[in-house]
Parts: sequence; structure tokens; C-alpha cells
Amino acid sequence: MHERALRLIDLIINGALDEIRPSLDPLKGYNYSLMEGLEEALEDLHERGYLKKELHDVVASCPNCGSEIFLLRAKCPYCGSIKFSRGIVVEHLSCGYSGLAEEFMGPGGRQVCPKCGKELKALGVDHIRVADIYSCASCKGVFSVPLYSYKCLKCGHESSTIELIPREIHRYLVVREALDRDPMSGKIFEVIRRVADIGYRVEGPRVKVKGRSGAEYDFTIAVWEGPDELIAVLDFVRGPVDDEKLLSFFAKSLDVGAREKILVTQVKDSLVEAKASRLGVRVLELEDEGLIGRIGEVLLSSRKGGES
Amino acid sequence: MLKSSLERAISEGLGRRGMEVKHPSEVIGASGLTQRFSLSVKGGDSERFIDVVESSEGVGEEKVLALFGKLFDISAKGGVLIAIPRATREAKTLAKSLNIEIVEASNLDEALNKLYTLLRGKEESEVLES
Repeated sequence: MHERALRLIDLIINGALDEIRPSLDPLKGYNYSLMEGLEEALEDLHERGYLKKELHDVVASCPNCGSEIFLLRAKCPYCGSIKFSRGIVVEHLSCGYSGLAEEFMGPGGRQVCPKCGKELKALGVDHIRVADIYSCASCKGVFSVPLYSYKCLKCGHESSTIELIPREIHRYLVVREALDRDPMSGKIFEVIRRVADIGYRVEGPRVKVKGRSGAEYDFTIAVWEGPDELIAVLDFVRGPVDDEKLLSFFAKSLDVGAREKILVTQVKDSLVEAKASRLGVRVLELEDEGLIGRIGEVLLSSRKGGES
Repeated sequence: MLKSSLERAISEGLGRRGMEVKHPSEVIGASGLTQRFSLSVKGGDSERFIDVVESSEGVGEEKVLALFGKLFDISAKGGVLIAIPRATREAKTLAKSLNIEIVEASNLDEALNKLYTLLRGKEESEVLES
């Protein structure tokens, strides 16, 4: 887990942070610069009720890559050409003739009506500006609004307005009461932080790990040594652990090839512990004051075992 | 029908069709733990271990994993999960990865017929392979 993400978790748990807002980067669009690598953790906290999500903004995003940064391109709506120019339509009030401003350009810089030949005097007195229009040099079409398209600056995909995907941008508010009520989440983050401090790569509080079979499994925490050596997987279980929970944890840990398989439970059950021990699964208690130390010991002994 | 009655009925049904069935089937695994399955069917040198699971919301991944864990502990190859009436999409995907067959059935007859066809098919393919 990214160091900044760990720091952010510390801030949430310690009560120093109550709200996480996205920031607007002109080169990247909305982003959670503080939360890099933490999106899943935040979503997990949100699902558990510890963070409340509020709508911050809705932006258009590229249908191909999701980016919000575009180059707005303009074309002729009839032929798609980019060779068009902007013009002003002028109406000569005396004779009622309307035409492009350049049609009124006479010799010596004077403005003369092409229909009646009178010289124009002052704007708003004998002639008015009727509209701004565009005329296409390719198809000679005249139009008031060019056709705009959005070229994504990240992937280059070009979309029309209707193809853009509206994307909700959220801010997260910490639900302090929910965090205080549940000791498990605090402990999970404490474990993540301490294991990272020892020097392991650690992901949580919900991490997907791919097994040898090709299947992907959810664990509360996974710990790696180096880039890809999976040392341990941990699941924090609410309520009692039955045979099925134990066996399914054993099975998925086996498939991902974890050296250490650790179940942290809220309810002590010596029969389950005995069965787990036979399967090579360590069962630790959430309420154990030395929980983090024990996890550290298991990881360090596993490291020594790997070196010997 | 209760799960235990269903397990017994499937076992008896397979037995009537000439298969060698053990119900319940218990095997001591490498861990020293006794692993219990709904039933097992012997065919030639191999034995198929089968769990029957009911869930109105669809049998989920945890049941597939639990069966895989037991099979691994007793060093059995593959296994069958009878999902009454169905398994979730995630459970089916996982079962495929873990070499576990899923039989979905909404009643006893359907479960029996599908399981019998599956086991016979396996027996025949094993004979052909040998």
C-alpha cells in the first residue's frame, strides 16, 4: 500500500481527518491526489458505513478511457470541414438589406450598402448587427453554431456531446461514531500500518489475490516480501468461525500459495483453533492485546524460515 | 425436502442404479481431521466425493471453497457440488477453476439424473483413457 495511503488511514483513524475531497487538476481533471492507491480502501470503508459518500460534481468523461480532459474541436455541421470562418450579418435599416459585413466594404474603407448604394453612418442608427454566423469554405454552408466534438487528450478518442459519459465525483465524510463502535476496522488498519513499518508490502483492508487456478480471492490483508512473494494472507472474521469458514479460508490461502494463513476472530473457540492448526491455519483473537506483535512474529519467523 | 433426506435419497437412487455409494462419506485427511462429505461414489480405482448444498439465493463461492479445502486435505482429484436449486455465477466460475463439477437441480429427480449422467460419463471416459 502506498505510503500516502497509509498516512491517510492513520489520519482517519486518529480523528485528524473528517473529510476527503477531490482536487481539480487542470491536466488530469478531478483526482484524489491524497488518496492515490487508496480508492479500494475508501470504497471498503464506505461499504462498511465508516465513510459517507456525497456528490461533489458531475463531469463529462471520455467513453473510451474515462478521462475528463478534452480538446474541444469545431467543424462545419454540414460537411465536417474545419475550413470555415466567422462573419457578422449587418442589416441596413434604410433599405432593409441584410448581408455579411464584408459585402458592405466600399472603396477607401467606407461602408456602403450593396443594394441601395448609400453610405452607412453609425451602428445602431442606420444599420444594426443582426447575428454572428459561420460560413464554410468547403461546402459554402452557413450556420450559427459549429458542430463541436471532444478529442480526449489522454487516449485521442473523439466523441460527440451525446457520446460523453457523465461521471459522478464524490467526496468522503468520515462517520466517526461508526468507527468508534467497531474495534475491528481500527485493528485492521493498525495491522496494515505496523506490517508496512516492518518493511513488507501490504495491501488491505480488502485485497484481491490471484490463485494458481486462475481464480481471484478476497482477503482482508495480504503481505508480500519483495515484489511478488506472498508471505501471508489474513482474514478478519466477524462472529464465530465454523468448519465451512475455516475450510474456505484454508482453500483460498492454499490456492494463492500463501506461506502463512492467519484468521483473526472475535470469538475464541479452542475446537476451531485445534482444527485450524491441523490445516496450517493460525487463529488469533481480535481482543488479544498482543495481536499485532503476534502477527509480526509470525511474519518474521516466516521470513527466517524462507532464508534458512 | 430436508438436506439430510435429500442426501439419503440421492445415495439410494444411485445405489439402485448400480453404483457403489457411501453416505455419509468420511475420510481422514492429511491434516488428521476427518473430512465429511454428503456422499461418495466409487468407480473403478477412483472415488468421487460429493456435497449437496441448498440455498434459495444460489449456492455461493464459500461452499465451493469448503469442498475444495476438504478434497485437498484428502488428496482427492475433483469433486461434485450439487447445488439446489442453483449456484451463483461466481461459484460456477470458481468451481471451473478448481476442477469441481457443479450440478444444479431444483428437485430430487433432476439431481439424481444429472449426477448419474455426470458420473457415468466420467466412468466411461476413464475406461477409454485406460
